[in-house]
Amino acid sequence: MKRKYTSAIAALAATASMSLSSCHDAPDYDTSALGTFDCLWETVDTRYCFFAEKDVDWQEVRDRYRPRVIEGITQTELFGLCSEMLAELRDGHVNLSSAFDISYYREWWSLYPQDFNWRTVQQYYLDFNYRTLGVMAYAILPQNVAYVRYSSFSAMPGEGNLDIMFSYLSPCDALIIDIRDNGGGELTNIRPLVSRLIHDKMVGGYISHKTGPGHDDFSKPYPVEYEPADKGRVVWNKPVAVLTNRSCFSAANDFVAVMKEVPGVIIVGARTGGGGGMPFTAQMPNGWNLRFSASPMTDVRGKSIEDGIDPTQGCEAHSPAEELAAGRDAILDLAIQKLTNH
Amino acid sequence: MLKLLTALAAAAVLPAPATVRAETPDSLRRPVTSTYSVEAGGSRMFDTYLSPLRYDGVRVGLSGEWQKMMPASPRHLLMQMDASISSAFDRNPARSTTMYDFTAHFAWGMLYTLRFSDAWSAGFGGTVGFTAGAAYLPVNGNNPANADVDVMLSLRAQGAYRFTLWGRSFTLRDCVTLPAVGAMFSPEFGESYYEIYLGNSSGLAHAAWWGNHFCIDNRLSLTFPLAGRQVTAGYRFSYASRWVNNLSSRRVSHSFTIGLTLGPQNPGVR
Repeated sequence: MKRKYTSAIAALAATASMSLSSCHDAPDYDTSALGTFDCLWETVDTRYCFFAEKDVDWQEVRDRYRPRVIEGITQTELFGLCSEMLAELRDGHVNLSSAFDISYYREWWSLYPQDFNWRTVQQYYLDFNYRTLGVMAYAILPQNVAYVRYSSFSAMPGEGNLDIMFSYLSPCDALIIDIRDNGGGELTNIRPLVSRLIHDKMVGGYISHKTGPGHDDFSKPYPVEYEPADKGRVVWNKPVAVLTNRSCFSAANDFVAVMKEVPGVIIVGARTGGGGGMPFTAQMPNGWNLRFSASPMTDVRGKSIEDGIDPTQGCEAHSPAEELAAGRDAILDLAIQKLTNH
Repeated sequence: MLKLLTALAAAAVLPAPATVRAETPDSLRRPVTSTYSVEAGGSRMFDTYLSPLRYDGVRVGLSGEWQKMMPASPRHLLMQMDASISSAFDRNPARSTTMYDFTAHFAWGMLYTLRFSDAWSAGFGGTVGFTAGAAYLPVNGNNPANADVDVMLSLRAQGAYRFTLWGRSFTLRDCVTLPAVGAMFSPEFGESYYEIYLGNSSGLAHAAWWGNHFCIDNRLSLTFPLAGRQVTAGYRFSYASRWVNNLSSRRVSHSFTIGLTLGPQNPGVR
């Protein structure tokens, strides 16, 4: 009798633990072409954050592409097929990385004029005479306007370096921050620069995230706050112009969204390229890595910045390639004109 | 919390002045059994915050366990304390990258023990444990790591069999710990740690129970004298899983353990 009870209790405990643990399961994808395709499609399906903005029927996309994953498909062919499928999202933050290639959706910038040539600025505006702080170059233009070129948010000079730069530029009447062709980097690198340009704590936008696998499962937007630089730091309190083109993407796009809300700042140039979703990464069974937009960001009015940010009204400008080649940068000229007429 | 537990544990382990008798030091009447082990074995894990895949590889660790009978009931009440650190290095199915796991654990518990004979004894009780760790997948950009933190009240049962072979004393022991209720940390489904850094703490702390946090730790060991020392060798099965915020994680390991035991093989048995 005792043995019967013991067996019953053991069986009950085993069943309970198995049923409890089965709730904690994860899909088991195999490394085949179909396993990789399914993993990729489902990862995007459950975790991608811009289906509504892109107006993409992802189920229909799967129905079109999955039958093309046929027996004997090579890794190169599969990569091409998956890249083509991901391009349907029209998102520069969606990339597939393999050992032989990385897929990019390039049309967010390739369909638009470049509006920038660093050589032109160096040669005709700076006379090749400027200071450099890693990803930043700075100089004083003849109109007594400070010029700062910030090429990538992947790095940011230290606070001490920023003090030196702003001290050097402090005699100027206005400041131009040129972030054309800045493809982004770390969101945290926005803060040190913004902190030098604001005088009160401010909300620069909102961030949210997916709370579940459904296409509409999102958290409440959370304010992204910025604070002025610590006391003792060199700050800027004169007019500022931020120069943009279509190749301002991701963190650079976020920077523009924030700067557009700062009093005394104008955005001059072309609409930015977007990239308003913080990307996450997921591995695929065959070793590829998928990057995708995961956390949508908005401006302070709650408007998505995924499709880019317009310049300040009356400040839209383009720098055609032929003019740049001839030594004229219309965007930079407009910024100088706007700032010196203040 | 950890400080409180450490203080409680220290108070229990260290001789209390009020209970010390001049003729018999407390450490002799209720000696501490300490076991220090290294462990190594196979590991399997997944963490859907980081990756939809399952990883497998090896886990290595260090652990310490301290046991002592309590003055309130020196024949039945056994205090236990254990601490461990471990690390896993698991490869993805394509064997192209490694996911790392780092885990530290501390638990303090009390068991009511029964001695059925000179050979057999068993104990039942509970522990309060704190686990802190993280899984780390370096290839990920903005989601490279996920923290694993919990405070749990656990059920614990152990059985011991003491026997003599070739004139030497051996103790075979099995100890099972089953976390039951507590609290745990988890980011939301697609929440970045950047957003948490910004101050969004909503939805991070969760009540934990068997339905969303199922773990089991089983340690089977044999303690025996060797070269003038007490050696403890054994096998450890560890299973830890979470299901919260539509995220799922699991860490499973089968390890061989070997270490040294100081003090009596069986606390309370001289």
